Amino acid sequence: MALAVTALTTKLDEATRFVLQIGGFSIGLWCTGDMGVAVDPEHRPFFLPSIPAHGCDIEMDVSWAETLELPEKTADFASGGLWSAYVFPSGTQFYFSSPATGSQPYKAVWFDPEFARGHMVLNRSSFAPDAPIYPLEYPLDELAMMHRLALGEGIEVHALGLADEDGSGYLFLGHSGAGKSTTARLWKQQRGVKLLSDDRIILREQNGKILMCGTPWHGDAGVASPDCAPLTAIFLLEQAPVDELIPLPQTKAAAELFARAFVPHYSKSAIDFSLDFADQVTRSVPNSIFRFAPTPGAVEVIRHARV
Amino acid sequence: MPAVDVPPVAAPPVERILVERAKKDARAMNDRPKNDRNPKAPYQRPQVVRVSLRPEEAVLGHCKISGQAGPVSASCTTLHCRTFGS
Repeated sequence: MALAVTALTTKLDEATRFVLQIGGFSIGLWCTGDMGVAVDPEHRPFFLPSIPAHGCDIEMDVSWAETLELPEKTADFASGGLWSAYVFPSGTQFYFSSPATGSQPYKAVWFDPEFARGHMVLNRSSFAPDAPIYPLEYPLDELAMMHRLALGEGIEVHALGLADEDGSGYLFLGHSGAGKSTTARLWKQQRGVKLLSDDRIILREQNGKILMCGTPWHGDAGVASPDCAPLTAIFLLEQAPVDELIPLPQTKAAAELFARAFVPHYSKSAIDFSLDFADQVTRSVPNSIFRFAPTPGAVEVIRHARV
Repeated sequence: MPAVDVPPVAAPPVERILVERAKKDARAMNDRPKNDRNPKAPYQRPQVVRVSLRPEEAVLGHCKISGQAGPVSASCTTLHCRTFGS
């Protein structure tokens, strides 16, 4: 359930200001003064108490519109879900539509080519009067992140990430239903384990090493931490009657990682970078298929493998 | 027509990009001087590897677990989501 977050926002005369930090990126929003802002409890750890002196990596302003129309050109990409992308020389525009909110888009965002500045417009008729709003509501938050990352800064993957007590950093890749949240619950019972996210992990390179960072976008286990940890091993999750670790060739691992990555699939440059990054990540650590049964023994299999 | 009714537009096929990259890598290998090659490295024939892709998940086209404040999360039902995912 979303909560009002007056403690996390700064109320100015004509705007509400709040700043999150996800995967090392600061995202700042200026919301028009008459907009009540709310946020999930899981997002709270990602809010920054103060605004970075140099400004945010991604700055967005949010305002109301009385009506909102789709551009006249054909979408460069239609997700088949809530969002479509229109690419212009001046940047990328996202439009969000749902039958639940009528024929007009309920939201639109214009980003510059660097995904550093954005202008968001909410269709007033799509929102209940006086109801609190989270302007970065899914899928916009992840869209902004994956487009920024695809400019050469990293990749967001469908995975559970955790740091064991000895500093080992494990990435468990898996589509929905593969067992990420189940695995998270098994590790949650262990002492000294730091869970980052049970559904979405951001991978970035820092000083020649791959860092995995938690996100607010959690799975069934509700794990959402703003922390980061060095990556030391990758496991591709598969549910099975008994536990088994099978070495995964690096090229196959890169392909499997890419298949579980969130990238702008309509952009050749984004795919090119993401493939290269998936290659770099999987070259940096051992890769395995992890067939597992949902018992505490699965944790021990992973821990014994590092010896 | 709402954007949600539009099927996904054909994106640059990943397979084509992968083939182009493989050809580029092969050219780079052939361009290397012979004494630069590791004689012990066994030749591995390039292979096409098929991996499972979930298109709706990959393009953030499914419903994520909701709870946020907004018009979508409040009514995140099968009305507009083909699949749910964590």
